[in-house]
Amino acid sequence: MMELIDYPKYNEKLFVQTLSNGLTVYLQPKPGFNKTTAVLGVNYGSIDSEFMLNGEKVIQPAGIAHFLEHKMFDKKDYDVFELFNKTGARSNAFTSFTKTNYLFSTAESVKANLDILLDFVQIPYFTQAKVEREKGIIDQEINMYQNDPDNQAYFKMIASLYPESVLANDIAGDIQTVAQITLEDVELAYRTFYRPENMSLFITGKLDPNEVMGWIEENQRQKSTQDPIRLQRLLTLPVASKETILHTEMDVSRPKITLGLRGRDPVLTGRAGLKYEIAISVMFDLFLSENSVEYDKLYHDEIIDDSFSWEFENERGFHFAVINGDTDKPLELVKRLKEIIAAIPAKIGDLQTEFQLQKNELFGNYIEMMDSEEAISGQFDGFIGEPVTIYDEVEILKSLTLADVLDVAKRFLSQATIQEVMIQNPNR
Amino acid sequence: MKYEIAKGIRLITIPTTKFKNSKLVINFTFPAKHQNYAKLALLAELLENCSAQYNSELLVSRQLSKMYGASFGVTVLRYGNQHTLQVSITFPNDRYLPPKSELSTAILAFLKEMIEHPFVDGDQFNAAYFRIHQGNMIHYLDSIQDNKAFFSTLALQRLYYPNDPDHGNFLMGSHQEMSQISAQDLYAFYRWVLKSAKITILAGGDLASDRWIAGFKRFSSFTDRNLKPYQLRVVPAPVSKVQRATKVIAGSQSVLSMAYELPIYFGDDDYFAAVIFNQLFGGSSRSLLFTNVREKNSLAYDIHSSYNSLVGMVSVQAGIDFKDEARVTQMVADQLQQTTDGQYADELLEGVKQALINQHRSEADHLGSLIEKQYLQQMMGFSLDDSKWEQQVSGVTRSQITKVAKQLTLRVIYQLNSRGDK
Repeated sequence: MMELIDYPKYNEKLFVQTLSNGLTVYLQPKPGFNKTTAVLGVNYGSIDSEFMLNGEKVIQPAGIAHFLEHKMFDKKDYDVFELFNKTGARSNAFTSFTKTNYLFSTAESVKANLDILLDFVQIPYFTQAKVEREKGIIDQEINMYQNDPDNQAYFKMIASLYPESVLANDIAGDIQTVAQITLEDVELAYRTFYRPENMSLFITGKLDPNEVMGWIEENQRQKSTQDPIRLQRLLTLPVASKETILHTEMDVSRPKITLGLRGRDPVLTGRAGLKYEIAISVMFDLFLSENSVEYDKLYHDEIIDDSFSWEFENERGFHFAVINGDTDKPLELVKRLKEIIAAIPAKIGDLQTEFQLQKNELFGNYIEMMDSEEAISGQFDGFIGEPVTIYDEVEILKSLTLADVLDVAKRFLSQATIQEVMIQNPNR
Repeated sequence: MKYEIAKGIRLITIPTTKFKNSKLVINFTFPAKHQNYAKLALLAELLENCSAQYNSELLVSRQLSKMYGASFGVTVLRYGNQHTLQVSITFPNDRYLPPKSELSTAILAFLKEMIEHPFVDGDQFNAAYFRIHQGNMIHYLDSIQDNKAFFSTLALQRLYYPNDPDHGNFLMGSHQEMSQISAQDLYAFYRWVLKSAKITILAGGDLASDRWIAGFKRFSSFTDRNLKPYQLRVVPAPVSKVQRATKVIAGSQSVLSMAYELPIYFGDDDYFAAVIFNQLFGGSSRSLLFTNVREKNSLAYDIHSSYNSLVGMVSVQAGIDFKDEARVTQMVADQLQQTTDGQYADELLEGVKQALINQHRSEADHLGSLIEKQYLQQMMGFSLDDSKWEQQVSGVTRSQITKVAKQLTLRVIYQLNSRGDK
């Protein structure tokens, strides 16, 4: 039976059903829209390269999840893009630290596209030759990332925050680890993680919930059942080393500085996790967004410019913040950022007016997202124990108080460890 | 619906209740001259960040937060020969805001303030404000080299139009041009823009048009103006041989860029055949370039072609290993020949058509796309309703595609050459 979650304030509805094979389906119709967007998510990302399977420890080469994502498109005598080309749909896939997502969007033939999506992800075709051929393409993808200083700054930062752990590797791995990947690795990873109970399907846009759920059930009935497994993911995150500035040389126009904060307080999930995430966002906005006096000061002191930004990630088992910008005064920026961050718990209580203003802005941002199927589906995470859509997030935001933000700020900041990465051109 | 605010100033409404937000776009346009590029880019930056009343970036930002995080931006664009200063704002509809909210009055007042009351002292932009944003723009221009693909695209464009800086130069100007602008010159330039530009306002969403017409009529700078027509299409001067250039950089990957002239423009008889040609050649993930260079030979992760129908150009770009440059260059030529010879499956052609129709229908779900489509049609004086548009796409034949492909002339090969010494 489909469960209905109603959002009357926004004229929106969410239908949820977990099928008998364990696949959970979320349908969020957008009446009046022409297009349908579907995301099939696998709860499997770059950090899942070490695990216990049926009591035995497995360690796989870095980059295996991303490699598998590429390989899913390559079938015996065709490429999956050919199938989507016939229906005219757009399709794509991407791998993050904790997830692999496969998606399409289309204004035509939703059923045909859904079958293509479910079948290509659930019916693999791997061979030795195909595994080898993919390595050349992925090498060029890795080279492309390595040519991008912002990308390098980000991943070097994560590696500094989480040294000697699976997080220290780039999502795609590197050319050496990709070279090590074998057909057996790919098959084992697929059997372990690409299971219906480890997947979620989120569809939004033009759709009739009963009809679409019927199509999905029909498709899933044709898939054979898999033997149960005992899986335990191993995520060991050794204690961060002492704070350092990691210096890297690249041909950049100006120094790039990145400051990272690794949270060491418990990582929450579900609504509590989203509330935590929203509270941290508001906290950083109050001190580092264009609305803050601190940002204004840094800007007018010409220490930062429009390249300055920050982000916070609350993922499965870890959370961190990354702040970065191009600057001619990297050490001054680091010093000032650390002073600003250290003062947050003491200052935040006085910012009631600014807090209301920030909530106002975020509220409007959520309304803006509600017009975008990409934002609605992109924001949804099917693996946090309960369905939480942007329509739920906006309610979490509304009920958020400044005391909540202060509480979360203290929890995060009091234990967080800090690292810096600086990318500079030695010839400038 | 179209309304005249004054002579040379038009308001076009795109009413719809489908979305939870509304969007306004104001385009100030005039013929593209390279002497204006850096100036208009800096002007956009200055109009976006402060005004007389909101005389700091902080105050503008907080006013936008008060208006429920309205997204406000000022940017520069080039449509063929048309230089464009674009002011846009997106904001939530009242019904989703707290009871009795009425946002449009505040939005109109904000736009009037930002456009008509810039942050000036006497006859120049505020000196400190000007200096800091001029510096930021220079930093931005310097940082383009960090983005290898974009850097290559700009180099390709320069080589494509030798001795033609109006079309060859980057739309944001150069470091040198940017640093030579004075606060006084720029304010004089802005007064000229306000007085003489053609102005097209597009209003999309759940909006009461009467209120917007009345509101824009109150803009004191929106007065009658005489506009001279000019050609929007860019036709490049002929060249006797292919322009080639190579720049050696330290890095992990080479970028190969190529540009062809294709004298077929938006609205021409062969326009749809040209769009489909590009999708077959390198514009889609089933194209000949993607299939043969990437999938079959593993020579690239990213390889694609683009067709700009306002300037009549097809370009190709690929991130590759430096040792494969000659091979990939030859393969690009081979794929063009294959397209010319019609060596592609019927199924691929049908799929490409289907994908274009699918995307066209999908665009109706994006307010920004609806507005852009409406604007292009107005500007080019060429419009088709959706069913005619789809008929045109479906009707394209193999012989038309061959005819298009034969018209491509290679003009530039540009290599950003990295030997892998990071």
